[in-house]
Amino acid sequence: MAKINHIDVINKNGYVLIGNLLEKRLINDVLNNILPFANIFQKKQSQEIVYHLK
Amino acid sequence: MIKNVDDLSQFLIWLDKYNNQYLFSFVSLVSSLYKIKQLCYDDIFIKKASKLLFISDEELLCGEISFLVNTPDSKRLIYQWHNAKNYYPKREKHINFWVPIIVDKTKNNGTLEMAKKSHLNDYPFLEFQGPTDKSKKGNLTQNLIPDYYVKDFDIEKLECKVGSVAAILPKTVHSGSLNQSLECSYVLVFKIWANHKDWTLSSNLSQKYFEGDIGSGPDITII
Repeated sequence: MAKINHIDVINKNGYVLIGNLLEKRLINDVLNNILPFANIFQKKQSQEIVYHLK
Repeated sequence: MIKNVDDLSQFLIWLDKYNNQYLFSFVSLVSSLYKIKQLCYDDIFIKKASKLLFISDEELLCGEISFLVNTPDSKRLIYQWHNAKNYYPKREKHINFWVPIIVDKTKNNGTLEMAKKSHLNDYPFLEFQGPTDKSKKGNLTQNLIPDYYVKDFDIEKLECKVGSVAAILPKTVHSGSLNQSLECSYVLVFKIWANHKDWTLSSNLSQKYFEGDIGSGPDITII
């Protein structure tokens, strides 16, 4: 398959999709950072509900 | 307990309904997580921007990162037709990176709609703040380009797998779209820019005209 010239495409259309740019490791690291943080946020937020009920 | 992607999606859908200001806080905080910053400031983006802008790595600047969540069937936070140029009027050369994370972006889960070849023109726009919830609290600044200016363009709804990205020029007109799926979808958005052609030395990326720009004097040169 012919290699896409990203410079030509972005200059023609104003944008370009760049396939498979990012390593899996970087993508997984992001999810593995968001999930624990979401848990902390959820815990703090559920504590807020307790305050409301008191 | 949030153990996986499904749990995360359900929590954020619930949070949006319970208190959408909390959702706003969540996405802002996530934007500051170190792995998010590590991803967006990875060499690979700098090198790609360098190639697309014809400017060396060392002369490029990295903008703030926004983590955006598109919750199912919610129109509240959808940007209408707009381009970056109208919000960053003094910036001439940048790449806006749009990076799906966690789940692929498909045609029906709140992807970006692009007006093909719209980068060749300038556009008038309506600046206003739309309410972001039913109580009219919270505002989403829209720089809306009326449909009249967009109707003749070929529109592409981006389909983009996690790991792939879109690179967008400043004048390209684009809009968000409704998430018609049952799960949240997510993107990171940030700019890599060069100030060579700017009429300012300001560090404020969104510096406007007629707003007392301290970085703009008669000695500023375009290089």
